[in-house]
Amino acid sequence: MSRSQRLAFMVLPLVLLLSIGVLLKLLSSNAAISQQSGVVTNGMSNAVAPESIQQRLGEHTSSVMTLQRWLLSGRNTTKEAGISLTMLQHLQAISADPANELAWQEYSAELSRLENAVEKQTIATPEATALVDTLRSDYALLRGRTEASRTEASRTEASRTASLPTDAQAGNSIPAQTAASANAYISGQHQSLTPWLLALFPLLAVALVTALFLFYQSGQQPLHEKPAVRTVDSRANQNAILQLLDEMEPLADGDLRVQATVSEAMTGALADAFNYAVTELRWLVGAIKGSAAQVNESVGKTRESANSLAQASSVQAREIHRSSNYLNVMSDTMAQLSAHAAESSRIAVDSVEQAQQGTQAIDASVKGLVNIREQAHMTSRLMQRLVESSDAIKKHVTDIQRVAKNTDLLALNTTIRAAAATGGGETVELSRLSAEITQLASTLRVATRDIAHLAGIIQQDAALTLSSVKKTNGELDAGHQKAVQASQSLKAIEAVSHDLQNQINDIASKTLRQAGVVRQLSSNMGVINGITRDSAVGLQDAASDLEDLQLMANALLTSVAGFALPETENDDEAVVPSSASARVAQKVRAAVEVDHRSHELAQQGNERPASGID
Amino acid sequence: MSQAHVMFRAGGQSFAIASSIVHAIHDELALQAVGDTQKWFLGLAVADGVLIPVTDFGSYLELPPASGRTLSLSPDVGVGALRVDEVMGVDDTATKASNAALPLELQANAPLFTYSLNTSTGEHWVLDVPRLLQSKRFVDIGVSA
Repeated sequence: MSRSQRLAFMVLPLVLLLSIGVLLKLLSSNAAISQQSGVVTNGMSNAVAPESIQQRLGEHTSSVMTLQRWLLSGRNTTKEAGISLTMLQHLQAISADPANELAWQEYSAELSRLENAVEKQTIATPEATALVDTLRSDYALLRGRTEASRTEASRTEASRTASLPTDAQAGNSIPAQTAASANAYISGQHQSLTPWLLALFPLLAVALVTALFLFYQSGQQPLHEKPAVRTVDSRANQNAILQLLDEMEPLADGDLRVQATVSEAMTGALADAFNYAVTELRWLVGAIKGSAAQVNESVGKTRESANSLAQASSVQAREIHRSSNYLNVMSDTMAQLSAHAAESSRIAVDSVEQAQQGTQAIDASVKGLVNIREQAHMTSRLMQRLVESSDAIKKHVTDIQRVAKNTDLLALNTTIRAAAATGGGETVELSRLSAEITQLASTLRVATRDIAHLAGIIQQDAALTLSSVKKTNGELDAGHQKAVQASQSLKAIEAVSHDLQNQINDIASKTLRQAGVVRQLSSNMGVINGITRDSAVGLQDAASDLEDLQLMANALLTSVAGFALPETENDDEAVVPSSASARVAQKVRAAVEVDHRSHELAQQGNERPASGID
Repeated sequence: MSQAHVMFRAGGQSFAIASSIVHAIHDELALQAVGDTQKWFLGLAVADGVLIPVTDFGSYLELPPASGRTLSLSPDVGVGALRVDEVMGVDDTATKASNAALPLELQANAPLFTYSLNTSTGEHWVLDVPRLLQSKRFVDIGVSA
């Protein structure tokens, strides 16, 4: 066997193996990237599995049930609760058949009615409003995923149908499911690459088998032809084959810049097919390099963003947890305030009772003072009469004094008569009469003096008593007035205490209700905290998965690094496959948007405390 | 038994008259003043149906005027009455005082008082009523122009 034959035997299997290897590597990489992307986006990709949609539908149904429970507990939201019930029925139909377009449309219409209720403030609580918004966005997401899943399913089916004969001819054992997954991830890329690749591979195989056959025939058939002609043709064919092999040799080293010479020789068609295959392979490798580089770059940036978001979510979860603790403390404090207010209310009730008792006591005192004043007035009148009686006595005493004076005078005159009497019985009688009259006058004088003295004392005492009684009356009047004022003040205190009691009761009731609202808010914050933690974990996982994806992209770059490409073609082709990395970035942005929405919900919970369904 | 005397005071001095000379003691008499008479002549009054002239004994003795009761004299002695400050009573136990000195206030009328009596209420100069009634000064009650 000549050198060219040995080289052909060595290079042709190498080229065949290289082609198979590149094809398998590309397919396996695409399949791996597709699986990885499914993990990274956590069910947010358009190419989601049906199980993921069902899971999402279940979560969506739970949200609608939560909304229905809130609306049922609301005061004026019974009608909206009925709407949410209808939505649940539509969701059941959608769960049974996600392709049920009518159910989707009716569900959207019911959701619009709920949104109208939000606009009309029939649904006014921040939680319910936020949940309706979430339902709308979830609806859009679910609807998009369902559509994507449906489109993907039909596309996969079409792709499998197209590739089945080629796979059978080439002996390709890659499952159609894997090919569909690979195609589903980088749709723009695989839509153009895979058919070409699948067509190129059999073409290469057929060309190589033909070349081998011709090569073999050139060595076996000279027995039936003339030696000269056979020698010339054989040599020309050998030369053409050797030239072709020489031109194909750099391909073994991965040099895709090779170009076979298309001539009139028997290898012309083979060279043309080879050139065509190399051109396609060059385009393919260039596309892979460009895509891998862009994926690497985009994934690197997205990974940094995911890491930052994960860190921010962790901080946010910690702050939410701290806020929840504050809310718990606030709730306890408000409960204590309510208890204190209740105690104050009880004290106010005691104050009202005390004021009532004080009012009753002062009223009794007022009555007593009135009685005492009447008695004092009576005493005053009696004293006045006593003074008047004393005056009358003094007048009578004057009369008596006059009588006594006359009696004294009479006694003197009688004594003078007795002294002037000449003697005998008349003298004795006059002397006795004079003595009796003198004694009478003396008695009258003493009695009159005593009576006058006593009358003076009585009059003086009566005057003092009268003055004292008048003073007492004045004090009684002042005391009565003060007692009346005290009674009025106590009644005012009673009224104020009563109002105070009502106010304190109102405060206690509102504080207790507010404590319940704060507890509910704390519970909501706990839910938000859980969501944020899950989001942080998801973002961390996403970052880790993105790291793996970056490694894979690097591996892909390494795997095609051995291929040499013309610089101009490489640059041109590198721009083409940008849709895959753009889709990855879009999915990460969707995750960021969900995280932002959770953050806004937490902020709304902080700014506007829940007050229950109105 | 000694003679009874009516004890009285006038013009700040204590005097006594024998009870036999005194007709009555009057508390208040309605006086009718008489013009152009001495200042010690108080006027005329009716006592027991008899019109009697009343003399202020204190003023007559040129002592402070009297303002008390009036002693009407016995008709046996003469018609007249003396206004005194105070009649202290009738005393029949009084005894004559020996070596009594007439007060200076009474020196101008010394003839009217010849002796004095010692009583439980003090020394009383006994008035010589007849001499008084007969004295020119007492009778001359009119005021010369």
